Amino acid sequence: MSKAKVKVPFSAALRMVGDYAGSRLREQLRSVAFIAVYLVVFQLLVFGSTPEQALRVTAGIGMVIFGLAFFMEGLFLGVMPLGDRVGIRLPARGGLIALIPFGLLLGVGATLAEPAVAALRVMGGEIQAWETPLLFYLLERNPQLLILAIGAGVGLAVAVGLARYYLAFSLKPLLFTIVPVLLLFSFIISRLEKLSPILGLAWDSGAVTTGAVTVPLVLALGIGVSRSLGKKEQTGSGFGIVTLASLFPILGVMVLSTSWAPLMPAPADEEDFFSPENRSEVMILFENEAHLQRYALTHSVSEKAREMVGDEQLESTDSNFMDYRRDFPYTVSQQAGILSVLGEEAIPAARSVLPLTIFLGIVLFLLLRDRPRYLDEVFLGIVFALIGMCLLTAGIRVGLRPLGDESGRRLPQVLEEVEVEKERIIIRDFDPSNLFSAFGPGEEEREFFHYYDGEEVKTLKFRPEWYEAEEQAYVHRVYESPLLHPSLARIGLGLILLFAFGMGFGTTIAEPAVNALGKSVENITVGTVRGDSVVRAISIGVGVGLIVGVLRILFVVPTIWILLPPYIIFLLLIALSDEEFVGIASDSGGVTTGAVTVPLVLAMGVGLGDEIGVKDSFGVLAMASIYPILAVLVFGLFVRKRQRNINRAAEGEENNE
Amino acid sequence: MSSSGNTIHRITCAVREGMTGRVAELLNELSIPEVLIENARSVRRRRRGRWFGFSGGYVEHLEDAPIELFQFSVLPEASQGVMEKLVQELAISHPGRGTVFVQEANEFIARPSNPVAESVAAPPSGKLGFLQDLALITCITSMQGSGQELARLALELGAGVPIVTLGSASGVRDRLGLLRITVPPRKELVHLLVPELDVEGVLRLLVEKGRLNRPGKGFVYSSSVLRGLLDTSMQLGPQESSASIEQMIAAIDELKANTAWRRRIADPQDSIGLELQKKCVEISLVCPEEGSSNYVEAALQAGAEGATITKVRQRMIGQKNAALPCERAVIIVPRQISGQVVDALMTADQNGSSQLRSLQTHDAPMSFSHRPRMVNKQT
Repeated sequence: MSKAKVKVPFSAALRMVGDYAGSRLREQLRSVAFIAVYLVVFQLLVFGSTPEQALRVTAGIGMVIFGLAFFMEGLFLGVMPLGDRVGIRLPARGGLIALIPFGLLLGVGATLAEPAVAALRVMGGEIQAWETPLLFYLLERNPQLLILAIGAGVGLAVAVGLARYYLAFSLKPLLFTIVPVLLLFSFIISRLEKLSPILGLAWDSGAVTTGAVTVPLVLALGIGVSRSLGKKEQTGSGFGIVTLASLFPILGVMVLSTSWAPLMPAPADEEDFFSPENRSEVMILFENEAHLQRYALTHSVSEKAREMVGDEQLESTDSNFMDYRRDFPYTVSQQAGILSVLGEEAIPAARSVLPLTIFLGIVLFLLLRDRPRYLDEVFLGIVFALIGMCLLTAGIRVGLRPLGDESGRRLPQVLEEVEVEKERIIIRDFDPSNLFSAFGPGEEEREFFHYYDGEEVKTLKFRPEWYEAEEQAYVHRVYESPLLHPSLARIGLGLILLFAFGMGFGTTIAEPAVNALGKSVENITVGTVRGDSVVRAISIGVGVGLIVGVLRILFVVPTIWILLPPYIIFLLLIALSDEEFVGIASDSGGVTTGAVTVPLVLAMGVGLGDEIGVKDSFGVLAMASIYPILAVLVFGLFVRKRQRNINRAAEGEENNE
Repeated sequence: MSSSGNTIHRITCAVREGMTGRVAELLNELSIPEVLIENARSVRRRRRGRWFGFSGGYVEHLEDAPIELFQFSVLPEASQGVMEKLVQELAISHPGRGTVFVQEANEFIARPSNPVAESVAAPPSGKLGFLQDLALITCITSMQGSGQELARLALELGAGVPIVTLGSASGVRDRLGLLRITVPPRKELVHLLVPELDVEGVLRLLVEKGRLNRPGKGFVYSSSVLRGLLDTSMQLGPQESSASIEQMIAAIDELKANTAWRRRIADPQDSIGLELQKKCVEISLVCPEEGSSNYVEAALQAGAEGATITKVRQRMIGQKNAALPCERAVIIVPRQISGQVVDALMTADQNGSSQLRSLQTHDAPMSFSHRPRMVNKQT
């Protein structure tokens, strides 16, 4: 095709680009504003402290805004048109025979390219091999197996989802089959000692699998396939794959765990676990003897257990000693320079964008012998998505996460009723003869000393009981008073829940996949369902989900009891809703856990769990996934009711109010 | 012009989502071979009493509901019968049930399933009175949300319930190179049936209030309608009289068999100095999804200014649930070049894989867009 180009004068072009960039940035500024302001206000008002390194945080938030603008534009220009095009062409050219292997490959590929195991590990917290051998095996010893199980689940989900459009069967019966099966399976698992710990892992895997690039791509693909087959009436408008991609991995992980469970040693206490009689059984959890020894030495608190594994010389300065604690990207707030953070994030960004788009490109160009309508736009879009992803994740690390982290760590303080020791300063070569006395009104004489901390001289009160005469050392203790007056501790719980809600709401509003879903819904319904409203419903759902998740962490509720109620309500609601909204709603569960939400929610969940001393924080992500579904279903029922009212009123059947 | 095409009647029927199954059945009964279906939304005003009856007034806001547009062609002699059947079976004469209208067009593609080859039998009863002097105004805007604004304006003018569809622009945008990403492709199309006498006035008002006289905001054109029934249920909410204004309007419309009595704009003379382009032709083509770009390019090379593309589904007779995803491109050209554009499109179709499923031309007496050099001096 030879197209005559229109020459646009440079200044006009510049103005066009300026307007365009400005409008996109304003849009993202609005979506990020809530969470940024919320976190800062929380810090200022509740904790009464200014954020550390305000400049860095501001720079980070700026990067998030630019990142989101680039990424969203990349989705709309490149990733989604590509998915749409393949979706339109594939069924026509290859039929069902092409759809199924394509779906499988896409699902497995997407999972392998963007493994979410890091997030699951963080949620898993401190896993002790002897307490939950199966969990330890899946997360620490053999995570590849877990990734494969999740990948198989996602692959199967995409294949089934695509086949569904082809064979024109409805999503409802599918959900009515899978969800009860999953719930029953989970219930059985929750009754088994060996298996019950993996329940949280399984349901959270479902939530994290669907990455920031995968979701919009699969959405566009589904809409394309659905349109090209033209069976709108039975199958909705192309939604529904994302939800399958959250449900099937749960099944995958549960099946994997059940079939591997017989190989695992039974949960035991430390000493039994490391005892020589059980050695052969527990060896499946470790690479070799040395690994076991290292593990025992670094993790076990029981002297006896350490002795049983023997070989003390390992306990020197083995550099691999701490390697199991690789610093997970979510827990450590690194102080690296912004540029080096950008550099570090470039590789994961490329991994999440490139393999998928290249795979679709190959399918489109080589197998289908077709090309997108605007090839250059698609290329530009992919580049935008890359830049955006990189800026976004780096910005979150630099700007938003430290804020979330700080709040997460400090938040549990609102529950404390007495002052707690914060740090100890050891002053060596302390000379009590340098003390001086001071007098107060009507009080006895007290002794003080001067302390120079490298910056300024402070006057500290001397307490004889803190002075250790033998070592000539004085241990000064810094206390922190409770954030709230003891009588207000109950409000503290409310504050934590409020914080959790705002965190969920704010991060979801900024989540690119959620906005992509909103735009798709608006387009398909010709604006009768506004994208903004869908985004808001999803965000409220995530907020509520996080409240439930945090309550679970605080009160240590068994996972099964937080899963059953929402999923049963879910089944009731889909019975009431029509096909299209079932698709839209259940897909909103998968889109919520993406590039913005996961790191921040993890930071909060883990921070909270750490402070309170809870072992794992599983369940938070699963909750952030089911509650938005419920929220959108309820929203859908309202929309339908309003539309029916309008139709009735238009025909004059409405009674005068 | 190498071929003049065959005269057909193009019927458009808009009903709310819940009635679409019934429409499909009805069209099957009438053995209409092919139907184009498009998702759309209707916009109405709702009046609501203020909370707790504060100050006794009303608040008004817009409410929209999903509707579906069915479009199909029949032979001219069959159109009256088909329209009557639709109106009777779907009770469209009752305000709020929907809209139906018929336009005359030329079909250039003779495929076996086009009505050119097949006659549709449905004897006209002559009992139903359709409104005669109507015109369809189509307003294509590129600003997000401006479709809603124009719909509000249309409701204030009180012609009928506006119908909004989505589309994308193709044409000049495609020639900008990568710079085109700065021009949003998404368009909102507002369709509005108005009395023919009011066309010019409404058009001017839409241009003025919708600020279509600024670059890049979109354009508007009118096309003639033979007969139709329009949805007058423009306002929802509490009514104060025993018959609603809408019912009265519908009754008078029916008595007079036209809407000229509702003329609102007395003097359509140039109040804001707009030069409307007269005597245009609307060329609309339908081809399988993603296939329109070659045709649009051919039309552009033959002198067209641009095209608006909407996504539609084409359902064949007998197939209840399956529909072929199609694209419809609408191109507005001055009458004197319409022949060469049609020829270029036909040539492109023969050179390509003959994908055109329909190519129709239809008179568009008036149009306006902000393109100074498009202003036509020879009216």
